[in-house]
Amino acid sequence: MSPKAAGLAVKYGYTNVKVFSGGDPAWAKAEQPFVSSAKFVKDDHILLLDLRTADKFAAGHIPRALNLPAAKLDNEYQEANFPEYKGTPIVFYSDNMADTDKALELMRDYGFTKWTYFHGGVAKWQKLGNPVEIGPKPAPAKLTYVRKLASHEISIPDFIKSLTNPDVVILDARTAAEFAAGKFKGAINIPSETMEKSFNEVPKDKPVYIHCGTGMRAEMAYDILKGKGYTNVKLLKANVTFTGDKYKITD
Amino acid sequence: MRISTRIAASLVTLLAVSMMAGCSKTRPQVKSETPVPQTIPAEVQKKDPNKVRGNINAVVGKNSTISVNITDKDMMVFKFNNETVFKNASSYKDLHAGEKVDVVFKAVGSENIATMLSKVLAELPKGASAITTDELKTLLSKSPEAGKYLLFDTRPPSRFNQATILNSLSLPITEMEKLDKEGKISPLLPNDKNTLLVFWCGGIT
Repeated sequence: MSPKAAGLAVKYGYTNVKVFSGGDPAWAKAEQPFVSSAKFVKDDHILLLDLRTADKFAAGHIPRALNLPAAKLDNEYQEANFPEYKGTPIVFYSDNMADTDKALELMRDYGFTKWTYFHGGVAKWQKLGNPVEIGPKPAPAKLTYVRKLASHEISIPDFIKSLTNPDVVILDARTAAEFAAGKFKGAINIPSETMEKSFNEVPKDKPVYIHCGTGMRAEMAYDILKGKGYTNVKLLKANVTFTGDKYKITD
Repeated sequence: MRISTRIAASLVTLLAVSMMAGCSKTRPQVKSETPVPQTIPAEVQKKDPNKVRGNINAVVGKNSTISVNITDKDMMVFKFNNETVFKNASSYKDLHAGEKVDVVFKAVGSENIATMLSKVLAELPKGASAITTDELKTLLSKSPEAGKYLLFDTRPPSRFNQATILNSLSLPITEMEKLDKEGKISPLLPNDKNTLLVFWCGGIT
């Protein structure tokens, strides 16, 4: 909550405090890129692509990176050569911004939603004390990305299966208004904002699967329940929409 | 068209995601000069099916229509007319794609007529001012050292790690508030109280 943060800064006596209230949505709308941290590049399940030439790549690259020279983009590599899953977190790096911009613009055009770059590339990576690998590792003709479900996540097929299972509780973490406009049959509604107060309504003796519209509020609700000692809860990280009593669940 | 549709689609995703990014609640509506016929208690408003909130997809003055992507739902199209009350906007010309609006409407035949269009604004605390996207872009053309500024991403660390704005430091609001309660100030804040500090988060929900 940036206005709140700014309020604290004013309280501390700072005289030149500004708020970029549009936040990351406004930044995305202005087609400005986002950067990922070294920690994310190191630890997360991502598709990491090095846009430099093969010889530069072979001389030293970030571990796990595949080499996709920028010259091949929009050339040998078209949309069909990228993973089908548009939520694939793709991180690029290079030694120049022009190549990075080109790659990011293509990802935007292809409809990917999680494309970022690692600012500073290999030089920054090493400066932060991280090791590099040497040798070639060209990207395959078809890039793939396998989604991994965390242990507290439920897959879309398993979630759908559970909708007809009376022993499973479906917990809708959206607002009451959204719930009223469309819901899963038999689901209970505890909005994520009120979970802290109302968690007692969640059964402890049955499997509970939480969903919302995107998976984000479900995750918030999950975190609260986990903090309260619940061990029977899983969440659905997927987009859920309702048209009347029909539902649609997508990655 | 294909590309722009996709941009819109990914934007919607980002907006939906940002809703949960530990970000701002919106402020109570600013009273405009135009008197509002009646005040509806907030509780009733929430349940009123004829009030929706969403992000503007497009405003077409020629046809007096505005299309709005309703959060977690589909797009809706509204007609506006001479009787439509605009709040936080003098006319439809102040409403732009991507901005958030509250729409109160009535169904007339097959059309939804907007009786009120209210732009949702972020509340800024006293002593702080707004910075626009373009101003931020200009600021970022210099390093924090050269431009004498600090940029803070107040979203949770996981969001910061995944995707942040260049030169941002991670200062989650939860961390700031925790320190504040203990009477402490984050060591990331500079000694020079005149340093430009810019805070951002996941936008208005």
